Amino acid sequence: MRQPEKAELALDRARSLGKDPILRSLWLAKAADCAIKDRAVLVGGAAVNLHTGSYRPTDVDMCALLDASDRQALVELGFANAQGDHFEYRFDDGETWLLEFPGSQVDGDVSMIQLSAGDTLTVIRLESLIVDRLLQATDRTSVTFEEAVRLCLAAFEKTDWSWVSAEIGRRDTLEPGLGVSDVYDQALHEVRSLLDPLGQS
Amino acid sequence: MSYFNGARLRQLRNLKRLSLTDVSTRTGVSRAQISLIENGKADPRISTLVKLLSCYGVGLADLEPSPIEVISIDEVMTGAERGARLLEAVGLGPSDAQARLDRKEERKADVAVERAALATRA
Repeated sequence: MRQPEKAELALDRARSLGKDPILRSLWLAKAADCAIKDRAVLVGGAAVNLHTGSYRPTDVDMCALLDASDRQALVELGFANAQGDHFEYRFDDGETWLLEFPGSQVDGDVSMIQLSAGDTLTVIRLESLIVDRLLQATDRTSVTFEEAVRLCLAAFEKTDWSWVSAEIGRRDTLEPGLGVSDVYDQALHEVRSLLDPLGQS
Repeated sequence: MSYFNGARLRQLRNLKRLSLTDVSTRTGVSRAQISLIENGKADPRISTLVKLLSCYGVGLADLEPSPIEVISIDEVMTGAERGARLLEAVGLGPSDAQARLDRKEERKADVAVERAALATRA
């Protein structure tokens, strides 16, 4: 449901809370969520950054069904339509942030973040995000594998690994050629070898 | 706001690797209606629910509610700090955003706006 006044307030929060990238990304996402009709779900790198604190997302990815009136609402709120479904917001301090709407459906479960007393934001659940990053790492490049390892390691203690294992098993059955189980095993092996010296695995 | 657990219904669809269009074609329920139900913006009629569950090859019991976790912003900030500290402790520095953009570019994505935006942030 479109809530233009709440969108303005969320954008004010994004502007007034300083340059912390997590707070900035969350309130920008909330502003977009309130500006459009569909519920927007934070996914991708900005969601990873909530767990690793050092991801440095290049944009804020959100899943939502977007139509022309939503695009117009985002522009009226202060975003510029930069390229495709990329929307750009320039802060007075010189920072430019990008929102992107890569698709309408979240591949997995969601959680909610209580941003303030009256504001929540829907985000992809940690365990689903881990599965997503492991699926990306099936491209067998060091960049995606390292990112999967970083997320698994940073969130190691709070992750429901039995859920992740079951989900990876299901994905492997659906697409056996992808090799996501192998990537998962390799990533966990790497995480344990890194955590072992700290006595945390 | 719907009281129905649409996220669970979406998960069941994803497990079957079906797109909204696939399900719409197979069940006769419109793509928009399925999206509204999955996004918690509409409660499904029983007849619609039966069609969807049947399409996914599951029963009502598979809709077992999985309560959505609510995390406070303080927990998020603390978790991010802890994660960053842990990564530093094992010798993994900050993620290399430029390398990620290079990788996207290799896959023929246009990353010009992302590079420009990233350059404005320290």
